[in-house]
Amino acid sequence: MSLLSLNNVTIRFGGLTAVGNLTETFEQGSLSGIIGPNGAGKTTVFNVITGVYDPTEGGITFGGRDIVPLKPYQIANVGIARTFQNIRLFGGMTVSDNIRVAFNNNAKSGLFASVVQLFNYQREEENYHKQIDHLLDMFGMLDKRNEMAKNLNYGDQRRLEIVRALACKPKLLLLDEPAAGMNPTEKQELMKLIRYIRDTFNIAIILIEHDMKVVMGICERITVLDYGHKIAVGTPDEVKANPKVIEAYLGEPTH
Amino acid sequence: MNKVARPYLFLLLGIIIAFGLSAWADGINPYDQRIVMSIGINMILAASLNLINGFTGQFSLGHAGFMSIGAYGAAIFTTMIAPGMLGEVAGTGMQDVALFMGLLFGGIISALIGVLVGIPSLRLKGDYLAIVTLGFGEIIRVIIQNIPSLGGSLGIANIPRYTTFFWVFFIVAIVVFFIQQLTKSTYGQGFLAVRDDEIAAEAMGVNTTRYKVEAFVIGAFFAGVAGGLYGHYNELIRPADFDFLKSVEIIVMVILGGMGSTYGVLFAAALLTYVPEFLRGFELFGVKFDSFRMSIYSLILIILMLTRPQGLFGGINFKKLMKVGRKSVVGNQ
Repeated sequence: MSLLSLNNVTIRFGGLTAVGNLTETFEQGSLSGIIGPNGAGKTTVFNVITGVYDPTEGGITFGGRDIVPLKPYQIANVGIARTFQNIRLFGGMTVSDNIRVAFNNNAKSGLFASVVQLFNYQREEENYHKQIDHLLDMFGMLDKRNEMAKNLNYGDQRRLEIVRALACKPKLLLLDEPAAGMNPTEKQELMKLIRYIRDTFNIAIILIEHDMKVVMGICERITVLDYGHKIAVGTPDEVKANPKVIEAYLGEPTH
Repeated sequence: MNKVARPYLFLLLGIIIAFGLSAWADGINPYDQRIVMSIGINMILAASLNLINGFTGQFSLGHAGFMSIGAYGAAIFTTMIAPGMLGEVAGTGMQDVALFMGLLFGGIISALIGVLVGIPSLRLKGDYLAIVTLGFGEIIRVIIQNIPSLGGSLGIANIPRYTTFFWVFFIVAIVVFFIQQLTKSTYGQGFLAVRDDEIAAEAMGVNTTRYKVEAFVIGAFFAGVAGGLYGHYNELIRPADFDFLKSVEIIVMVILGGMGSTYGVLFAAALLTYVPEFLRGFELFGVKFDSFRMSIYSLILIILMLTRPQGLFGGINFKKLMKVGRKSVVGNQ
């Protein structure tokens, strides 16, 4: 059974069909990409998966469970984490507190236990800090743990967003243009990082990306959207050769 | 262990200060007493509003409304309900019990109303929420004004003076402890996440609805308690005491102190309560500041905001500054 499946998902904003009749499945542990020209509805697909928008028609199941009626935070709690196209960190919080937010959903200590801070609370808290330090260490950001998130450099902000999403312990990670604004060296590092994440955490990753080198370099399967419709799907080589895809990006050939 | 004990030591210190102030207060004149009392009450109001405005980022302009609910609730309890329950309490040790129960009663009613106000905050943000909460504060005031059994615009007079310095500063200590502990905890990071980015918070599994309503409920509860203390000190409460200007006064304390900085807000509450009174008797080169003290007060506000727009204590990363951040667990390689 596939991890995530979209069945005939359609989203209309007034008269505009942002995504039309999209049917697609994503497997456990797969590394897939969604590409398409600007305005093709890629981010809208992410938004509908994470519950920011409800689909006008169609259904979405995650691990066999219907997630359409769930609120965004509930979807996060069933195991879908994401990053954003325009970085959305908690700027006024430190790096480690940004990650600590992720532990919020499965914290056993409620409001009053968190005020009293005795007994189990301390053990729980110690455990969170261990996990935070471990994650930061893995991504080489341990020395920045007490830095304000808004004071980090661009690359670190992108990285922190990914770390923060991983702290939610997702089964599926959605990356929205992770390579945006990066230079070629940083992009190389990012590709390594994404593969590393998939292999160490054993999770499925879907990424939206404009940089073809990145997408073609790491994705096993690519879905191409144009005007909200799926025009092609397949391995990087298949997609590259697909005339419809070439047409979407470069326009119709004139004879 | 030290980490666990430290906040409790601070709480204990706060309570000792409350005792100290209580002992000291008997010797000073009523005018100074009133200033110190107002400082304490404003500290509670500002610290509780800081949870809503500063930590959770929900701009509320209706804090005086919550205060009035608590003030009326507590006054009704001690003047009407308590005598039936506890008998004649004035002057006996039981008056503290009556006050405590009154404060709790007022605070709980205020918290319940806080749920009502919290609900629109789920759909509105920023300026729109500010207008709704402003409207709420005014509605409360007008409703109270039009209930004859609450004294209409004359208010309730002859409320017993149960509030002591100890009670006020004891509750300041409790509020500070509560808010500091909460906002430092993992659970409490949800409030800050809602403030910084609601969409990202939801995507991280934070139930933003619950946090927003909780912020309003906790803030309203403590504002209600502050109202109860005010009523039992002033002996008279009128709807006009809890108007829009009172809300603005509290907002100014929060903004000046630094949104989300509890100690900054406490400092600002003390400063802004004391300065107008200080200027009353201030003389420079034979010029008496009394008549234009409010202009000076406003001028001070303008200068402070121009020089420190983030608030007196705002935007300071104390963790980094004092290098008291926890030692790393896995160590720097």
